[in-house]
Amino acid sequence: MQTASRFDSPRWELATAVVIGIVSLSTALAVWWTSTIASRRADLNRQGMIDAIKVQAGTNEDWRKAYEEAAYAARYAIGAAEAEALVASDDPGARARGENLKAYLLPNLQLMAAPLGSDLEYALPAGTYDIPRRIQDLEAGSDLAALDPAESFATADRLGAQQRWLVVGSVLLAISLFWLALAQIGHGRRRLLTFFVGLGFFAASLFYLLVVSVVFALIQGGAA
Amino acid sequence: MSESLPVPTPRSPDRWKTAALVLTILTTVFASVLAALQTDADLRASTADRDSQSLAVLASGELQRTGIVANYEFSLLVEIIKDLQTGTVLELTALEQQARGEEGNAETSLLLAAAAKARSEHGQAFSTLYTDSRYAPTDESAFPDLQAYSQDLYIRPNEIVAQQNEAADLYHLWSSRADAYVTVLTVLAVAFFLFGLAQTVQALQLQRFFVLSGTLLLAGAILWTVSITLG
Repeated sequence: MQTASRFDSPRWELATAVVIGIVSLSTALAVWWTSTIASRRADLNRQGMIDAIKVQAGTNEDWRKAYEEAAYAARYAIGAAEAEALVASDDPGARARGENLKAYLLPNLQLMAAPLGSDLEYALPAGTYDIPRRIQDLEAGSDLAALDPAESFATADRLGAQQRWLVVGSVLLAISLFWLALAQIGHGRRRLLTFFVGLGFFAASLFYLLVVSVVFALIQGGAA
Repeated sequence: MSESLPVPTPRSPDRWKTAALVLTILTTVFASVLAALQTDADLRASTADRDSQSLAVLASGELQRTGIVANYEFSLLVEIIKDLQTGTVLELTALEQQARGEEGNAETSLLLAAAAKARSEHGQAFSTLYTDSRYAPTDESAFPDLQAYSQDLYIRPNEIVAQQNEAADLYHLWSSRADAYVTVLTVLAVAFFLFGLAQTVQALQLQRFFVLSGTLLLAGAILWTVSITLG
């Protein structure tokens, strides 16, 4: 009876209330932390999506330009073959036509095909052009080359994993809070037992959150 | 002398309240686990949704680039065939002109035919349809294998679209799981309420009713959760 009254004293009630306050504050902080991680994850996913659209649009434009040059380059080469055929004939009129094609038409076609049709680095031994290399050069020269949506998505996935583990920490804190609330409304030895169970859960939660933060700080190079 | 009657031992009046307390604790732990499962399902749904969208963007880009390449190849093919047929027509014309004794005109026609054939032959060097052995004509009179080329052209976009569909299916799976977990959490809230009432009311019958009702809901919620997780 004496024991029961000792655990029902106002001092115990105050101590339990103070611990409940601390655990509540810790729970709020853990939820806030989880929320900031979730927010950063959402931001990275959004940024990655925007970058993916930009990269695709840029790549499409690079391909369009390369194939436009390729079409002009092919016309130039075909025109050159025709001009050569005319120049090689015995007919003076045809020869003159061939010479004029070479003198006036072909240079203009070559200009339109530049640089694919004019730069020697794109010329292939078969008389054709290295279109994939031209696309590579266009992509390398683009501002969009620096964008890496896959990296944004990978970082977002790491933050998602961290969020998942932090939620477990918040759950542990909630369980701790529940047991401490039981201690506050309980009586006698049951109050003592529930109080220490709650305290144990709280200590375990803090340790768990510490481990999660250290592990993810190491994984993300301090980004946690 | 009167014998005292045996006093019936009263059954613990707090039995149902203790049961309600224990069940409340169980429900709390279960609700916590369920909340974690719901968060996990929500995260997976979100990731699958993002993958589905980014793959749709990629598929769209890939299709556009496929269109650019196809446009180049088919335009070139049309030019090659047109030049080839022009050459043939001019050669036929030259034959007719020779038959009529128009030697000068016939020579001009043959010259133009040679130029057209030179254009056609040179154009073939730029065409995948003529240089790639998978599509190139087997003899001079044959056409390139356009069907095989068109099929191969869409292999990559189709692969991406298949991946996109998988990601979309995954999104629907996890999204419906996350929604179902939320519904179970709502059922648990009712169970919490009933256990709370059981601890408040004084009548034993009511305590028993609330504890049993709450237990029924808790058991149903557990079974439902197992079904969602395994389903």
